[in-house]
Amino acid sequence: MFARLLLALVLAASAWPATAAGPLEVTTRILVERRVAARDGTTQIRTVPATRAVPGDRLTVVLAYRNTGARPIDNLVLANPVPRQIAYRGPAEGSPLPELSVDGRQFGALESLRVALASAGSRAAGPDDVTAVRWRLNGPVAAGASGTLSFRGVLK
Amino acid sequence: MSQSVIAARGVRPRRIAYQIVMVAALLLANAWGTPACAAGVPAGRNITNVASLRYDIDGAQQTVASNAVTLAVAERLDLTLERVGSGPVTIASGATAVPLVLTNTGNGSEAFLIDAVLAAGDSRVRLVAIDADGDGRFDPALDGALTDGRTPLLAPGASLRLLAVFDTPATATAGSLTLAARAITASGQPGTTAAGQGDDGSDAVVGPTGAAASVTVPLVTATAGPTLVKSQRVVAPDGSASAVRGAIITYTLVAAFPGETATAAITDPIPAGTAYAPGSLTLDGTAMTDVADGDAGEVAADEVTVALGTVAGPATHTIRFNVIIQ
Repeated sequence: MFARLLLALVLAASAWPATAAGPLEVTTRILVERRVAARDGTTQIRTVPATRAVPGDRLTVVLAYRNTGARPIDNLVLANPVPRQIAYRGPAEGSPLPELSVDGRQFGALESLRVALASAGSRAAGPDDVTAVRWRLNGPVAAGASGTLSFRGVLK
Repeated sequence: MSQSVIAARGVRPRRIAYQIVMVAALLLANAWGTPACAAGVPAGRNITNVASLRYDIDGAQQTVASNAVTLAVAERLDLTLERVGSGPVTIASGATAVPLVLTNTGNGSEAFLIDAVLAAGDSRVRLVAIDADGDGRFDPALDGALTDGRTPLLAPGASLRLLAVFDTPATATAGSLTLAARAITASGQPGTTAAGQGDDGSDAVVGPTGAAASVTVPLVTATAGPTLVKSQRVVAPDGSASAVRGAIITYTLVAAFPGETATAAITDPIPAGTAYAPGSLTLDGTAMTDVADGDAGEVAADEVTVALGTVAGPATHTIRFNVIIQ
């Protein structure tokens, strides 16, 4: 299934330029949490777009989508690999809860996932084990509608 | 580098409605295949995120890529400086070496500046050396001094064993030794940035430790050796304290051991003109036999011996015995 999809994507990518205009736009951003000294002497935490981060920084990966076409879009699925340099920490505030995977194949709630051990058996998965997140939108995306999906992580 | 696809959901195309599978591909330029070390993702790497979108229109498949967003991994400057061992260091005349371990906890290669300062006391810092064999002892033939207090470049997560060596004159007095280490690139307020000064031209950012650490070691002079204080009490047959024939002299010996002492033994001669009162020897209030046997005490013709063996200091032991004035 995975291999077939990958093949299909490769074929698709070679057949249609990636810049082809379509009714669904997606924009990705990486935000970094910064501590900013406020005028009253307190420290505020702001999540700002950044081009630089250091290990330990808290990141938010944002995917914003918009249906720019005239017809509704159904069955929208977004799957996002979590870079191995980023430890997954959870959905960002206001974002729907994603389904998680520790192997890129089986998705579900973190509590339902297990990590195979080298020796034998398996153990319960933790946030550090997450390798991919996925959102499946329930309803159609109406013409002109938009939304954002995001998750938090820490740069290892 | 090709875009990688991690997961998608199989949806059979239908007419009219768009069937869309959106696949976000997070691309890590130059980063895949390099395991992150304990100190974090190495500085100078880039994380590029490109989301791609796939959908069908009336059975025809199209893809659209999002913008590419790149996050550069800057160099975080951090370190730890820890002493090997704990507690005050006892100084004596001559050279003393204090072993330390400096660890680069940042994510880039970094050199550090070490400063050793003595507060009070008469000792003088001689040098800070690299403990080449890690034995905690200064060997001038082996352990090279830092040049201008600078360490070599340490890889992320790497540790360096150091020795702070100072000399103490014969008239040593107590004081303290403070060792301070800081990253050469930058240190101070966390978040301070040295643009372009990190590995591979990345920015260097002062981490939570302030890219500085210090250790203060109390220095004490060699403690005095064991002490023995002897006292006596005389009780004459008439109840007075007169040292007359037949009077009993009770000797009390209090031995104080400030530190661990090996093969400690106390010997006290029986004074001329007196005779030992058999069975009167006690150690810390416990009676001991007069013959050489399992207990620590032994009384010979002319002296009392109590062999304490190894005494874990600090400790105090009290020995009592009686003699009778002849």
